[in-house]
Amino acid sequence: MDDHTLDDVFARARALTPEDDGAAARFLAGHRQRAAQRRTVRAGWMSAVLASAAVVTGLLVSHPDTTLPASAAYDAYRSAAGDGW
Amino acid sequence: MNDPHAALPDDQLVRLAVRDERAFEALVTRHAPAVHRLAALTVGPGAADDVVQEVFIALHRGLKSFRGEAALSTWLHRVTLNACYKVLGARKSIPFEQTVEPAAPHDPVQVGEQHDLRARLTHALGTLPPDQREAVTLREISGLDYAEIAALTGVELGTVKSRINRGRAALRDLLTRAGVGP
Repeated sequence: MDDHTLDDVFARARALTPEDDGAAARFLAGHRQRAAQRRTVRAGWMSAVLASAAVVTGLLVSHPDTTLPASAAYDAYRSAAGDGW
Repeated sequence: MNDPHAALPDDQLVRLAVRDERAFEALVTRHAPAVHRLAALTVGPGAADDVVQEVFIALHRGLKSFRGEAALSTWLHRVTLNACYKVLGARKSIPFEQTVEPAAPHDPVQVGEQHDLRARLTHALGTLPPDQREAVTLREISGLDYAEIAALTGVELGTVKSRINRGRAALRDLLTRAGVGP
C-alpha cells in the first residue's frame, strides 16, 4: 500500500455516515428529556415549599391573639404613683 | 425554516448558550457529527454515542466557565479524546483482537462498505502506540493541521510530524495485511 492509497482509505473513512449525521438528534432527544425531568422535579419541590408556606401563614392568621397577662410590676407602679401622673 | 443561530460563529453561540437552549442545540448540531466520527473511529460505533453524550454534557456544564482561550473545536477534540481513552481504559483487560464491538444500536443491520472500512481502520489504529494513534487520528480523520495538533497535544510541531509519519508507515503495513485496498 502506498501513501496515495492510504490517503484514499482515510478519505473514505472520513466521509460522514448516517450515524454521524444523526448523532446530534440522538443526543438532543436525551438532553431534552433530562431537562424536562429536572423541570418536573424542580416544580415538585416548588409546590411543596409553597404549600408549606401556605399552611404556616394560615396558622398564623387564624390563630386568636392571646391576652397578655397583667403585669404585677405595672400595677405596683400605678398604685405607688397614683392616677394623677 | 432556517435556524437563525446556525449562521453564528462558535464563540458567539457559546456566550448565548449560557441562557439560550437553542444556541446550545445549534452548537450540538454543528459539532456532533465530527465528534461522533472521531469517537467511532477510536472506540468503535457501539460506544460512540456514549462519548458524544459525555462530551456535550461536559460542554453544557462548562458553558459559563468557557473562557474561549482555545477554539471550541479544539476543546471538543480534547474532551472527545479523553472520553474515548476512558472507554478504551475500561476495555484494557480484554485483548484488542478479542474485543467484540457491537453494531451501532440505532442501525443494527447496516453492514456497508464504509462500516467495514471503518472497523478495519479502527482496529489498525488501535494497535498503534497511543501518541501515534492520537496524532494520526487528529490529522487524517478530524482534518486538523500540524499546528492545531501540536497545541492540542502539547508537543512540538516536529514531534507531531514524526508521530504522523511513523503512524502512517505502520498503518500501511497493518492495512495491507488486513486486505484493505483502494
